[in-house]
Amino acid sequence: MSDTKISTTQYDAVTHSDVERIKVQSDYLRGSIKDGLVDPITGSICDDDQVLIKFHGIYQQDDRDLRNDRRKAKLEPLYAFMIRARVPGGVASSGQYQVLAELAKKYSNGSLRLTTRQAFQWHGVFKRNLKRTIAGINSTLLDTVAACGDVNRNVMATSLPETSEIHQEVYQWAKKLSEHLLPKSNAFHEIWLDGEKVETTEEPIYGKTYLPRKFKTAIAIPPNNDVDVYANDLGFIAIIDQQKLIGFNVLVGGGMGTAHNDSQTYPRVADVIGFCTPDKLLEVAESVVRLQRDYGDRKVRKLARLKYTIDRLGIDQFKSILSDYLGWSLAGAKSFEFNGNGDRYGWLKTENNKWHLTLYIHSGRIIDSPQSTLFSGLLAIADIHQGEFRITGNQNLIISNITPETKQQIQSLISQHGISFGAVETPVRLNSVACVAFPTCSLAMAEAERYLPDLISKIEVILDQYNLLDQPINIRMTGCPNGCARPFLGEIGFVGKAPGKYNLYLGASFKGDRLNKLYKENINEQQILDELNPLFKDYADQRSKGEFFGDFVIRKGYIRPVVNGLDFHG
Amino acid sequence: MKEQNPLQRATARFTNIDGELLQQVSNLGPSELLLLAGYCAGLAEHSPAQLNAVVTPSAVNELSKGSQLRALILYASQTGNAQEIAESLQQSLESKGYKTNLESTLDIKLARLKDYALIVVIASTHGEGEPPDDAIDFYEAVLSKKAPSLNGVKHAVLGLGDSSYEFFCQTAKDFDSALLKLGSVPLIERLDCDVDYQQEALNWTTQLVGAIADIQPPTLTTAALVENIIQFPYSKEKPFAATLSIIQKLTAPGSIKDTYHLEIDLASSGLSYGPGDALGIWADNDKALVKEILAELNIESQARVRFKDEEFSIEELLRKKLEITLLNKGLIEALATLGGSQKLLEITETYYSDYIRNHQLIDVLKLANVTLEAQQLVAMLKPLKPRLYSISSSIDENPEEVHITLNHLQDENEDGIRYGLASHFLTRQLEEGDKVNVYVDRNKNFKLPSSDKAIIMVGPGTGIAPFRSFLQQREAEQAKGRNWLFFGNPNFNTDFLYQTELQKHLKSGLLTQIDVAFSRDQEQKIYVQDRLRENAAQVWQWLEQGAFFYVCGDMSRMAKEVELALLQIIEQQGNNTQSQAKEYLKQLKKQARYQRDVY
Repeated sequence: MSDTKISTTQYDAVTHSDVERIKVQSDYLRGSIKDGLVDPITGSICDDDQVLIKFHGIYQQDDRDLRNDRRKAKLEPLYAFMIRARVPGGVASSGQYQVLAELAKKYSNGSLRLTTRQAFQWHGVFKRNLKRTIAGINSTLLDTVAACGDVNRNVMATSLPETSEIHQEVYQWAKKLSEHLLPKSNAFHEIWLDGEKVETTEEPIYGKTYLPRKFKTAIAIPPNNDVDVYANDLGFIAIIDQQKLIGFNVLVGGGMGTAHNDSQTYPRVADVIGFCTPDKLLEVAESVVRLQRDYGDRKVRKLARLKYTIDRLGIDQFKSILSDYLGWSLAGAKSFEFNGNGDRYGWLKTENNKWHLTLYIHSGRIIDSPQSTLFSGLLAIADIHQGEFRITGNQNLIISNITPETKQQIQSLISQHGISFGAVETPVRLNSVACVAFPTCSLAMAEAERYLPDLISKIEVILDQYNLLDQPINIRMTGCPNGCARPFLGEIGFVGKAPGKYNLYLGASFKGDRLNKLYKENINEQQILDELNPLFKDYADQRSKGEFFGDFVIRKGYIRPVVNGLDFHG
Repeated sequence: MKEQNPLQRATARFTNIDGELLQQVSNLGPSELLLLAGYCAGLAEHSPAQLNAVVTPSAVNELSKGSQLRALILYASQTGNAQEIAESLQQSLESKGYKTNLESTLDIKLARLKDYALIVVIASTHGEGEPPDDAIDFYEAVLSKKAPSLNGVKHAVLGLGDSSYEFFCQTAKDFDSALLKLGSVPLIERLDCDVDYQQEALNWTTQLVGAIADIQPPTLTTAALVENIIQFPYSKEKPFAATLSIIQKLTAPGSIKDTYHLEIDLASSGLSYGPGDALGIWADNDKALVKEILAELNIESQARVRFKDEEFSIEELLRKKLEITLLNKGLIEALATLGGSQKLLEITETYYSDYIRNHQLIDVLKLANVTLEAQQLVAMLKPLKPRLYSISSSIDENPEEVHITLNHLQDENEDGIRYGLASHFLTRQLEEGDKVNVYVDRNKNFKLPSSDKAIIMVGPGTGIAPFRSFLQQREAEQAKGRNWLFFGNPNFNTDFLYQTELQKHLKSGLLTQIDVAFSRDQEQKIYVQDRLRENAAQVWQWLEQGAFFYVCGDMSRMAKEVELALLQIIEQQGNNTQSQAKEYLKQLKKQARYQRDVY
């Protein structure tokens, strides 16, 4: 690796954002977290440490439903923590799953949340239980390091297992990549596992200030784009030739996060910039990370993602600098084809004589409810299942590598606990994704997870009216424009503005390679239904054979296509 | 700002009292002050000309003369009521020229008893017949073999107690019989006063002063005007109808506690209070409960009855004047006999104290199965008493307001839920804006020390109330003394009373330290006494540096455990023996450095 033309970024107290100060002063992510955890007077930790714990996979939140009542009662907000585990490729063994679910029962709000980035999340963990929960996660040999924060986060990989050998190979690369880009500070062990204090002298890849902003990586195996590879800072598309993995196309500069009414910010789909063989994967990834470390904007955080770095430099300049970091250049990209970014539900048998069952998990929330004892059911399944559980990028769960001997038992547990594998829900519901939003997310401006099912029911009534119930339409909803559920890649996207009010976006592609665009701003439920009704009617009457809704609204001129992120606002 | 003395602070709002006058007043001696106070009190009600006739120069001279009779007035006080009566008795005797010594049972040496011709004991009883904290040592001593002979001595005993407890005025009874046994003879008969003691106690002291005059005539008769020096406009008997301005629940949903913060508007009442004082609340009985009782007895709600020479409907009388939530043994026995209820008799004999914890009159009536006339019922019941709550505000921080902190009390029994009188009235029957009858009940034995002294406050649950007041007061006075609070409750998330205020106090430095014990947040229960032990070295250091130690809250468990922890700290940290530790604690009490407000 050539370092001749590289100048590593230095902290500048005058111009850099405050988060940069916190990072540089943190003694490699330690801060005062240890003291804050044992302060018995508050359920929170101090502001600076709230930035740092993200690097440890933790967010401080509070129950926003209760905030006002508690203020009047002279109680502080009900602070609790969200913990996110790093699960490369979304794969956890049955034994690991059992422990993780038991931790949820014991220390969180009794549910496990699957995320759009194939991670497990625990919500509502109180400060006094934080350490034991993290230690419990660690006991499974999973961890929470770098699940959030200004570092490379959980590395995604396509989980649909049509070809189990290729999946296994790609999953191993996802794991290696995740390990390779982990921060090396010993802070995690010291704080959470009572490890001995070991002086950290350097972060070989990141340096003292880590990255300017979060960094997301995913690997897709065509034809499935269930990881939404175009929404990542760094993406790899596995290129398969004659049933063999020959390498990866490299993508850079994807990202969803925006701010309302700020046209400097925009979502962006990644550019395909070349191809590398598997043995070069880590080197390419590390070089992109180093480049972003040095060229990313450290003054204005909302313009710090790689997508803005690339648009500032221009893609050609970016590629040239990357070649400097690599000391060589990427080969030309290979051809590939995606057919969608959703999940394929139900049973599937693979060439290794194992079965896989993709479940529909509404909004990724594993919880017992009057409709389904999903949480208990999955625990019972984990008891007998010898394979893995795989989280998909759509917040669903695959019970994977089921032996023929246990298939029958698992099948009966599924029906006994009322667990869905997508057999009864409409395609529009099966293709919907919502973020967590209220009451725990501090960023939420409107409901998402708690509201989308109701809205879908109302949308289904209209679709039924036009005989469209069998048509999959990809709907994404988030409570804010930061984009956790990748709303700008929904054929129909809803982004919260205020309680009960959403921006309506239309025109993304079904396979996840084209963004949508703002159609109506700040509208309520009735207005949403009134806007969609005539579009569905027209779609039912005028669509071409096999034409997806997102393509239709563009062809008919309801909305202009977004070719690249800079068109998003125009 | 220059620090003001209490008088200056108190008079600051009256612009026509100038500094010079105050300076002169503060230079006066005790007997001059007493006379002046009496004079002023008289002035408030009479013209100066009328008063001149009474206050003659010779009267002033007589005051300091004294007589031959040496009297000891000994008080064993828990909340300060016995002390108050003792002090007013002393004033009354001294104004007549008798020489008296006023002593707490904490300070008196057993051997000195025989130095007096007359021993007056005013003793309260608390809990299940137990003497007050300050009297335990003396109590044991006077009943022991070491007690001196008291032949030739006369004594008089006044008891304060609560007849709803089984061992009513037990401490006074025990003192009385101990003195008899030692050879003393009673000057007047012992009187056992119930909670409503003021008038009876006054009558008794008047009787006592008369009896003393019979054996030894007073040297002065004209200075009666010094009695009743300070007249508050509102009192227990004449409460102020205040506006309940805020009812705020403090515990969050999911809590096993139901705790409230109440703010009461005292505007235009002239009522004032200090940190440590209590607020007396006159509550009405629950309408539904009254109806249930009348239905059970088949008594017409409008039936006319007489009570203290006035006529009422039975319904109104039960709601406003009679005790129907607290039981007493006499009542249960009377109803048991009347209805021939074996079950009730068994209760009084076997598990009376368990029974009365969660049962009320209505439950007894259901078991008694009696027929009563309305007037008969009235005769059986005790008068309704006000309920006292430790004040949780400082008037300097909240002018013309008083705050209290209380648990809504409810207990379930086999027939339903029984509610506490005042807490149910305040939080369920009243709404913000309604009137409530209140008065200030002073607690002399729970007071802040001077502003430079360090204090340690142990107040779990609603025991935090007076300490919120302490902290507000110290903030208002910019007091320099260090403040350390121990607080506990079941759960951190729901039960951290006044959490955000305490966080602010900690941040501002007003609170030097706070230690919390949330008993149910972990498998092993943790209480304030455990936190005290964890901080043993530092607690000891504070005590050695002169800190004052306060405890407020539950008596039967918490306060006992805290005292044990404190003794252990004194023993271990100070390398003391057990008895040295006890002596150390006794000295703390003597110096008013160990004060408790427990219930």
